[in-house]
Amino acid sequence: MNRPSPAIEIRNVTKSFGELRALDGVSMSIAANGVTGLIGPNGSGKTTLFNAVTGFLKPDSGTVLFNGRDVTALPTHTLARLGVKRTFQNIADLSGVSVIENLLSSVRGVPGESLWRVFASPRKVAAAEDRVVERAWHLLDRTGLSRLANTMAGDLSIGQGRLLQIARLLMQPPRVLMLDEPSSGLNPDDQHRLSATVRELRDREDMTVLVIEHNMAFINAISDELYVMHDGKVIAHGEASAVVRDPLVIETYLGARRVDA
Amino acid sequence: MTVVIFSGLVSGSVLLLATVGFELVRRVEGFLNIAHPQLMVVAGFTAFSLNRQAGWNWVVACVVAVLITTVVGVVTARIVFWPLRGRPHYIPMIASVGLAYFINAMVELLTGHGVKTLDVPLFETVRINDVPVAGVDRIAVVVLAGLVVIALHLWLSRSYSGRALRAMASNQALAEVRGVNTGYLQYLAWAVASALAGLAGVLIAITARIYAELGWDQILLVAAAAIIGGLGSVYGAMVASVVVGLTSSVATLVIPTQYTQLLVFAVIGLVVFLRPEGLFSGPKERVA
Amino acid sequence: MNVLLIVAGIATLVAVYSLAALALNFQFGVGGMINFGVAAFFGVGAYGYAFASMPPSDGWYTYAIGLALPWWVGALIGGVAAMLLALLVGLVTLRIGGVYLAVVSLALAEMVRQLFINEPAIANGNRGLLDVPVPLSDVIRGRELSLVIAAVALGVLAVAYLVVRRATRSAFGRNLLAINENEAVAKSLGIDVYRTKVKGFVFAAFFMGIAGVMYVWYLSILTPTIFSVNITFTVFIALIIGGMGSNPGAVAGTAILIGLREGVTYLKVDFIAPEQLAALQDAVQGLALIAILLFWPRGLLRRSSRMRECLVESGHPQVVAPAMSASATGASR
Repeated sequence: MNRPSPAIEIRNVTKSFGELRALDGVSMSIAANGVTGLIGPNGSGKTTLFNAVTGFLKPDSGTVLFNGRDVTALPTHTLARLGVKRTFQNIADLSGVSVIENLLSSVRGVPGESLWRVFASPRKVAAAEDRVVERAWHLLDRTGLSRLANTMAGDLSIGQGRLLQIARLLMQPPRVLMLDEPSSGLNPDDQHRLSATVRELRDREDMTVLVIEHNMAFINAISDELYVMHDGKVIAHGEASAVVRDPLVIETYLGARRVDA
Repeated sequence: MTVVIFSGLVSGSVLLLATVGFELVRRVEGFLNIAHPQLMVVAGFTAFSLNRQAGWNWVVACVVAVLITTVVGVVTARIVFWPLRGRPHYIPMIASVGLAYFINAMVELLTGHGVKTLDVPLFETVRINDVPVAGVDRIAVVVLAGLVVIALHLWLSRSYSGRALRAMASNQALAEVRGVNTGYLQYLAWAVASALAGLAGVLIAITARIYAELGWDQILLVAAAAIIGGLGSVYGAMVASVVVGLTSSVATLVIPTQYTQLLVFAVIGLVVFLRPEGLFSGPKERVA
Repeated sequence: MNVLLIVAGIATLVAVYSLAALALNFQFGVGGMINFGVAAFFGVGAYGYAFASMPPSDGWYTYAIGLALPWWVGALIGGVAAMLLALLVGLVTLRIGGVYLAVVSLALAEMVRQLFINEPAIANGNRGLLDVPVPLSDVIRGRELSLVIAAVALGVLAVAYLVVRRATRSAFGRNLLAINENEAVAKSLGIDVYRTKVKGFVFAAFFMGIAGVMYVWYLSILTPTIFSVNITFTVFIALIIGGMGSNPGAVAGTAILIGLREGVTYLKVDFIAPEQLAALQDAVQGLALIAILLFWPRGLLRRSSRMRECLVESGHPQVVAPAMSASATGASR
């Protein structure tokens, strides 16, 4: 079900670190219920954009809208509760905690989060906890991580860690999911699985997905639309097949890559 | 009034020597070394022992005390802190509390309780327009601190080892890759920091009195100066030390002496709340 | 009878420090907040109790207020006083990194100590308050009182242990642990880091205050030395011995530390002068702390581990503790 207005609108966002202009007037329109890819050379500002949109960094100027609502510079946790969640480039789990505990930690709005209620209404808290645990097991089954439930998250392989990140985000599915290089370090099998999962999220859960990637094959397979960044600016955008033929894109990013490959 | 200001300069100068070393260690190792001011106590008491108990000349006693303190600093770093690298940053800080207790206790056990002074010649009081400002010794403290600041500046900005140290502080792995001999530099950093603390200690012993609690009394001022100056900036620490010294001194004109410390801490609280990077910040930290 | 009294005294002291260690564990072991000002909350609790339960000053020595309330009301007030201080400190310092909390809290304890010393009008300065009410002292006299106090203290510890344990295992405790593990991830999961930390900090401070109150029962006099960094230090070592993050470890570590410390003072050591004994104790404690951090990072009671603690004790039948793995025995991050 396509909505006319974009899920995320980024308008003219700039961010400098001292003299370095990491984001130079970036504007994007992320379509709802679709998968949008974000590619570009290292240092072009992709992760910085994620950080600026999700409250890890405060933009120097510009606006970010989520479903028409101005969310610029809202704190990260508020955005997460509104339904905008992200993953991190390096494996970022709660590594000293077990897999299932990672999932349990991902649910907000549980009565047990309030110390007062923990002691004032123990039965409600216990019932809610049961429900959360059940959901956690369900997701573990779905992602195939069940037998790892009680393993320390820090002991997982990269592929398993990525799955855990996704499972964690699905405990309370966001409206917008921002993935930062999800396929890096994954073997082809895991990549396929990830690819399928992302498409499933788009189709069955009506999620809007924004993906930073370097793996062209991977991103081509899943995205409806591509944005290309270079030096803090958006230099191209459109349908994947068209963008990869854009001469500017080839010159700054893809062409160089072909030489390397 | 001049007396008060100058007195502030003197205490600021001593604080500067202590704080710069503290900040250097923080830059290179990444933790707050709560035991750092204990080296001042070590130096002061060593100078006392050599001077009063063994009868050495006070200048010689002080120089030797500084050397001994440098060795103590480097050795304790090697034994206690280096093995703790790689652990979360609060672990060495907690260990440094243990070390502070240990050093303090050892000094007390070896030299006994109480306040110590050195056997130094009587210094003439310098006057400006016939108004006594301070003794020659205290003026020397300020001058010495100034020389140290210049020397440090030159070292850090011009010399190979100084610049390498700054590179190391920013990114150790990268520095190693580029051929910086991080092992030797670590010893150097600790040696310089310990020597500065030792110098501060003997200066206190010369111009005033040294006592065992000094290590604990000073740590808060040192940490305050480091925070106000901005964790990560050696120059900030310098400026902040002098500011702290001056403020506590000038404040005695207005509020009773017991509350000057309170004032300093109120300032830290304010700085922490309003501008946590301190007045001059070092390299910013990336969040994610 | 004598031995019984000694044991009762040690038991009371263990209860006092265990409670403080449990509280510190919640703040630091679970929440990663480095509180070097434990003594401040400990002492504020004690003085809050004193002001609440003592009768108004009759001039024999000076103190600011005396409300003459029953001892248990006074104790609660002491706890709340500690919470209020924690709220102030937490709101200011928990916005940014842990290092600031460490320094500010250390400074705080020192400041409060000097304040109480320098202003005799508050609580008789260095000479302290000598007649602070001890529970049931009007009913029970003499030696039996020590036994009763020990029983009360242990009872309070038991209740507090259950409460703190429940809090650790709850979703709130999980959130606090998540923040400690990886603040960026916690934020991205929607956890309000600042608020959670402040709440956790204040919650635990209550128990530090109560511990301070019980300390006054043990000593029956109250001086500004209750704010000294020695107390903070003792609690830290106890926690580190028992394993950071572990509630049972906090109690066990305290029992070991206090047991040894008090045990040593009962041995007649003639050739060491009293001040030297104190210095020696400090030296040994400092050395012990360093040694444990170097060689037994998980605590001397090696089976405990913070993560394990929160997991196993989430109490849910389907969530079990993972086996200790190689990565878990190394750095916790």
